[in-house]
Amino acid sequence: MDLRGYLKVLGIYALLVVVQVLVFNNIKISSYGITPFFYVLFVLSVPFEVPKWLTLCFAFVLGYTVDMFADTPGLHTAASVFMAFMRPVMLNILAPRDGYESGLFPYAAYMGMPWYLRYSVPLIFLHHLSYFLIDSIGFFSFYQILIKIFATTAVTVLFVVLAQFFVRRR
Amino acid sequence: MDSLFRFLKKIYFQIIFIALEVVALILAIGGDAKRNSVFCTSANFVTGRIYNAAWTYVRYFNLREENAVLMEQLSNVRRKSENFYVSDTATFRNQTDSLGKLKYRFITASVLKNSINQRNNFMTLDVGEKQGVRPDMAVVSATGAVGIVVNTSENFSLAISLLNNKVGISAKLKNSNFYGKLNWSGEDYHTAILHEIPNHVTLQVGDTVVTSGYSAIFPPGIPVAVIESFVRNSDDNFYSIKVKFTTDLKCLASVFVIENLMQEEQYQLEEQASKFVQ
Repeated sequence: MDLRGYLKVLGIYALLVVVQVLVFNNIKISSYGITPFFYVLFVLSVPFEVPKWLTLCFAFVLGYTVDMFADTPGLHTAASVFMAFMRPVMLNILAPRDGYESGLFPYAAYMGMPWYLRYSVPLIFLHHLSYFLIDSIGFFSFYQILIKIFATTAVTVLFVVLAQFFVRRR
Repeated sequence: MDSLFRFLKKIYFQIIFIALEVVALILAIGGDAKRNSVFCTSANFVTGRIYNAAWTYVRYFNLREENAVLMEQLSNVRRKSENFYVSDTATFRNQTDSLGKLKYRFITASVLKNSINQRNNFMTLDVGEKQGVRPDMAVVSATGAVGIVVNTSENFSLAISLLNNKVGISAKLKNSNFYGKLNWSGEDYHTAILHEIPNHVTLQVGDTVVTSGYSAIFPPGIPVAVIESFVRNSDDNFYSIKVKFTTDLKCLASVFVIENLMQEEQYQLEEQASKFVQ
């Protein structure tokens, strides 16, 4: 991937952090305070060609930035890094027969909505699962965590899928 | 040697993952210590500035609610001051000691950031050391207590919210003066639990719970919550009381930071008392 590709990744990173911090962090649905973690779209959107170790580092920086704004040291960082770790696994499972062609991007516009759902939903779920499990250390209530994980996954998936309609194929 | 390199090449991804994850988990689990370093929180220079910039626009959306709260506060003050002129001087004695010396100083602040959905919630205020804010000051809204300042930078401060399982404040029943400890229930942002109220006290749903003033952080008599339900336990001698916060912690805009000017003196005296016990 060339420099332009990496600048684009940087742009997506900045945009998603700003949107997460200034818009989505203010959404608190119901008394559980469900907040969509829209920023995970970044980990989903890293191009196929980026080496997986670099994606891990991107995820670390992303999580750390979001943590700084949300006053949750390490929480988003740990969940995002875990998500980036599981991403190659999902990509392997869902790989087309001859691998990913160059010029393709992990967006619904390129890969189709069914592929995108099978790719994004498990990863978002794993992110939220790890987030709420780490968050609950020392204060565990099984039923409540279950609700939070599933409700947050649902709203995050909703916004991530909605965002796909704004991406056009070149 | 060659095979070692081949092995490392095979598992480098896992090694990087474990390294990054361990760093993140240390931050997450040792979070309390890290919160004291401004670098990790929204009280630092960069994040504080961005929140401040956004706040200048966002706060227009809240003007309606804020106005309503201010009107209510104004009417409260007016009622109190009318009382003051007629007969009741007690209300104002709350703010001063008996010689009329100033005991509590109020600093107005805006909440830049506030969370309700974590296990341990914090809020960021737009006042800091420059405005005279120090750790261990009380944060109250027009309708009741909301938190305690834990960390300050030059222009911002971080306050621990009452919605935090590490905070318990000393609270008492307004009508009978029995005091106990008030903790967040952890369930939703309305509900807290009041502990240590003995079984023989008569309670009623709707009774007001106020700060006791024993802790040298909150002035006495600031409303915290009202009783929602209570159960008499047969196995110990204390009630289980569910209370509802008087402040809606989800829509905080303007708050006061309260400085207890005699906090240091009280702490010193209490420290001497603990020496006697040993």
